[in-house]
Amino acid sequence: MNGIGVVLATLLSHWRRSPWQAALLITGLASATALLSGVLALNHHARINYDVAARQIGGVALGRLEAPSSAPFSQAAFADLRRRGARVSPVVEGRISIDGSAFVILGVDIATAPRGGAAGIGNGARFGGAEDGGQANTGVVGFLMPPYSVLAAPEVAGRLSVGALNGALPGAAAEGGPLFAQVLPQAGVAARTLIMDIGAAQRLLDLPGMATSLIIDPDDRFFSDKASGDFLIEADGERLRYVDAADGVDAGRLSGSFHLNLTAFGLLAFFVGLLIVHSVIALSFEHRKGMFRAMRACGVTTLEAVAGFAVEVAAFALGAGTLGVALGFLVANAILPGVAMTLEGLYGEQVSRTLDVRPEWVVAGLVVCLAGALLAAAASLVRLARLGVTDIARRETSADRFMKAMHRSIALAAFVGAGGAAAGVAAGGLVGGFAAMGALLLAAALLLPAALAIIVDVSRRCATSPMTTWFWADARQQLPAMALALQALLIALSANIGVSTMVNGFRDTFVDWIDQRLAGDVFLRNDPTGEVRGWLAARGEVDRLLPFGFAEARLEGDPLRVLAFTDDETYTDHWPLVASLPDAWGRVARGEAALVNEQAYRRRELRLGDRISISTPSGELTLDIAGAYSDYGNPREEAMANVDWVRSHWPGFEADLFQVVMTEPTPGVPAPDPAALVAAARERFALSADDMIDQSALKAFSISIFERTFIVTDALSVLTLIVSGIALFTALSALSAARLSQLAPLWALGVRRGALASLDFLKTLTLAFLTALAAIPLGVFVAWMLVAVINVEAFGWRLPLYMYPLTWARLIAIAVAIAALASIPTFVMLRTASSATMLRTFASEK
Amino acid sequence: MTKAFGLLFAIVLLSAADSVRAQGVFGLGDAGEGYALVTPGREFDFPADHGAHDGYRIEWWYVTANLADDAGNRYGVQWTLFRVMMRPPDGQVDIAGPWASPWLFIGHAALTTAREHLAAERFARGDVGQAGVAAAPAFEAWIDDWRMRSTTVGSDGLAGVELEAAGDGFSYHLDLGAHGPLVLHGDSGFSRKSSGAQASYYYSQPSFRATGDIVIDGERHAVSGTAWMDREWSSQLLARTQTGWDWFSLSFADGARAMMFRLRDATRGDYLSGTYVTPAGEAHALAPGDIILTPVKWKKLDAARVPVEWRVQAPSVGIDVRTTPLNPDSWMDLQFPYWEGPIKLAGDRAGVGYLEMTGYDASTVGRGGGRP
Repeated sequence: MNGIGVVLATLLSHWRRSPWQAALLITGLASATALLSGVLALNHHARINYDVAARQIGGVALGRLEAPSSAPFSQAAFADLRRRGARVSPVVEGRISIDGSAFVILGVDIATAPRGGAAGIGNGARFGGAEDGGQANTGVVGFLMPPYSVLAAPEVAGRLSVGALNGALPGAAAEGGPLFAQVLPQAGVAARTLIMDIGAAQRLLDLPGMATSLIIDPDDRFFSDKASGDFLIEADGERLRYVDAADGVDAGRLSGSFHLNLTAFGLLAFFVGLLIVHSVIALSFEHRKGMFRAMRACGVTTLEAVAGFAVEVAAFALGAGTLGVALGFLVANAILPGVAMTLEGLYGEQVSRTLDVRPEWVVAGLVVCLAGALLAAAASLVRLARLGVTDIARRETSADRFMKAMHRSIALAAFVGAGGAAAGVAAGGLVGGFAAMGALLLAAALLLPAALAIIVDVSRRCATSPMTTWFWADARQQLPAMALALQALLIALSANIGVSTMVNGFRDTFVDWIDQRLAGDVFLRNDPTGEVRGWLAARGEVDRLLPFGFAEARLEGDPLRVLAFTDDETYTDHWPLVASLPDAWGRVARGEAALVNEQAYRRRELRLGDRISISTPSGELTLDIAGAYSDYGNPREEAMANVDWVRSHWPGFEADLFQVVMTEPTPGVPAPDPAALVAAARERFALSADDMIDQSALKAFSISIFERTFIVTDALSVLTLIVSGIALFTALSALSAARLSQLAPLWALGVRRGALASLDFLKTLTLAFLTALAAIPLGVFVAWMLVAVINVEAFGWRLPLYMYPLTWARLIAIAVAIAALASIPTFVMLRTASSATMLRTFASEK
Repeated sequence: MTKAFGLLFAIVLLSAADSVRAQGVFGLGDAGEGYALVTPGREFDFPADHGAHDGYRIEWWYVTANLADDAGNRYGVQWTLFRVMMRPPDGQVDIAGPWASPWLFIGHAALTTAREHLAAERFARGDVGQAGVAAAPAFEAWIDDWRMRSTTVGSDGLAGVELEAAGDGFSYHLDLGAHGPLVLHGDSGFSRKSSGAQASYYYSQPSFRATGDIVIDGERHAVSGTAWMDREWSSQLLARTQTGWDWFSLSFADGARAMMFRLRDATRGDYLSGTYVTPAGEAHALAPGDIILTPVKWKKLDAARVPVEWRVQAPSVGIDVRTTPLNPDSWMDLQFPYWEGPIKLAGDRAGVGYLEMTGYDASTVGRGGGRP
């Protein structure tokens, strides 16, 4: 066995004697790695899904033509525009339910599809030639001609049978034999999307001869010089609205903030886990000091000793890291549905619910674990390197070391806090916000031991009885060993308070807002013939119908959607304005002014009374800003104007959406029931759920999307708290062996074991409680950062900051409970120590 | 909303990765079972035959023009519409609707100068109005805004034709006027492509005079010259062992015209055929033994090695010319790549023409007398 081998064998013998420490080290490393690698896996998974979506979109944003009402229109417009030289491709898109699952049906024409057309047809013809008697259904011919092949994500293709697809056809379209031949797995198709030929999709969606949009090829020249002005294009009798390529949500940027959020939590948990690792390694080093000196005395060089120690740490890191990555996979799988729902709810991104093990993040997890472990061991390694053979006599008391460490911590806190804040401000934006927040959390954590030391010292001076004086002195003496665990607890609690304050505030604001905003009782769309409206108007329980709609304009070249509304008290009494001039609604109703949403208001730093110029199909218009309204969840800039005013400036504009206001309940008559009205209308006119919905269903839907949004954040903050509990438990476990010798003298003085155990228990709870108290202002600061900096950067809206003392109280209780749980083994050990043990300990310590 | 296009592109590109040889183009080398058969003795009926013929696997309307501007700069123009049936009639299911049509249209347009060769392509489904061919009331063939339409009324819809197309960096608009009769190739329009069953119905208008405008990179040029239209339809154009063809249209200064082609077959030997049209418009079929086509100079292009200069001989009608391309790099870098460009004739008779070569790629080794 060579030198290092002997060193390693000697070092590892320690863990055989202290399996408890080994278990703690592995727990620390594994829990640190688990959350971080879980988050890395989720981010990686989501990124792959976004890439898929981006490739589906073709890598470039495509402009398109739509009917002003977004309703389907005749595909004759497509041929007309093509013959005029426009490079457009028809798309029919809709949603259907197959066997109870909702699917997006995307019908395309690959002959004209941007970039894809050429290749598609070429192979179609070739495949066609290779067919046996033309019966085979392979290749692009199978895509183009009935019976059709349909493309779906592999996980969907495995589940969805052709029979179910054929069974979903509306009655008339089902005649003439099965329309679909097979569902082909195609990596890259978004989850829950079925891609098929437009002809097939028209039958499935019961939209014969119709398109829902015409996609404009990036190589098109026909529209390139028209984009700035012509908003309506006449094609074969259809008036189509030009929708610019840029007029969409930058899902990547928006969801980027979400992923940054996840990463921040992953890093937080990792940091907390490393604190455990650091304390266990430091403890094991303390315990093995004698062993190291003996090795040095036997001729082991410093380099060999340090290398042996480092290899040991690395071996633990790789072993526990593997366990951590496996746990991370489980964690990621557990929260993936939540992440997927969040992304879909908030950004409309489709992310598959199946997570694959990817070598990239397994390796990343292991590397991060290894690096973290070596970092956590750095202090011990340095001390080992400096350890002289003859150092035995020079013993530094832990109190001295703690004082030095505390001074270093305070200096470091000042540096980290100031540096982090400066860096955050300098970097600006979302990353800067997170950096500043992280730095200030870290600075606060570094200051915690000093703050606790001051409180404990002051308490000790104020103590009157010997027992209380001892209690505080003992707490002070324990502080160094528990400092790291308490710091971890502080960070976890602050993050929890911050996040829960933000989420609760957001929830309250959102629910309140949606109550105001969704004032109509029923919402109706897709009623081109007006028959539903006619039927509604004749119903006794319907008081009035308020048409509204959307028109497209441009503000300084950027798309601006204009919500055209009918002046009515459902708006003036309920619509939430964040800022407004006197008589704002009156001025808007008279067509003298407009309202802008908060996104536009803040991004453009507009002021009330400002005059903005917008481009419309009839030319440039100026608008006075009479107010700004909150518009949570809308990534776009928007304005509100009177419907008549919009009609006069947007040729061809139709307000084709309707709010239905029902009659006020009168005594003695059953209250009008919007849900029953919707059910009756759907039954009578075969309306889809999207076509007509009552307010409570829409609210429930909106709130459910909102609730999903923060599932993951909640889950991660709870997990972080659990890791901090483990840290506390680790620290207390490490201390418990030494406790007996510290408490035996008091027992010898006549203090009962039960009282000693209770005092020790109480001391841990006190420190945890003090830490939790410190976490409140820090948590409020975190909440403020999230609300005032990070949300504004990520979403463009700012929320009011509400305080939730009850939540804080609950968190303090949780912190104390965690401390209590973590102290139970020590408590039991003290409580059940036999008199003989106490006596022996006392005697040998003396 | 805008999803799927890039994806589809990727899917089909994967299967297109192997180069498409002439054999594979439109399945021309496959057995034509289930499609209408091409047999000798068909009576042609104009103008109805200018229109589309159902039941056949492939049909095309093909115009090439040799043009020059006032400054003497030479240009070549190509306008082509293919109509391809994706599946034989007996393999089609009984589902109606414009998108269920078995027909695909493919348009190719090109403009060649001595320095540039600009090409574009378009694809369209059969019955949605984006592309089509009508013989009556006036002849018209179109795909998108590319058009060929009759400008004259009468029994011959091709007496006067307007032609237009546009692609990246180019566009053209030509008026064509016929100065001779239609020519039926082979045996009264029955054109054999091999010693076996492979054949097509094939006629031409070889004597158009062309005037019009071309626009290259935003610059407009008034041009004039000659143009040639081919009309051909078939269900089985190539034998399985045939790997591609070399096709010549020659317009001699004395008003005579000639069409010759060679179908290359490494196994069973090349198949040659042609037609000679006297200045008076009389057509004579050239027997395979009457034609000698010899590659003289090969050129290595990015995508393929192709013979760009030829010696073309038809001793029975006194043709022995050497052809040189206006632009040796007249490669149609489209979904189905091939070489097509204007040529100049030198030797015992002067003139211009067009050369089309399919089935060449980077691995092609020259044979038949050319430099390897």
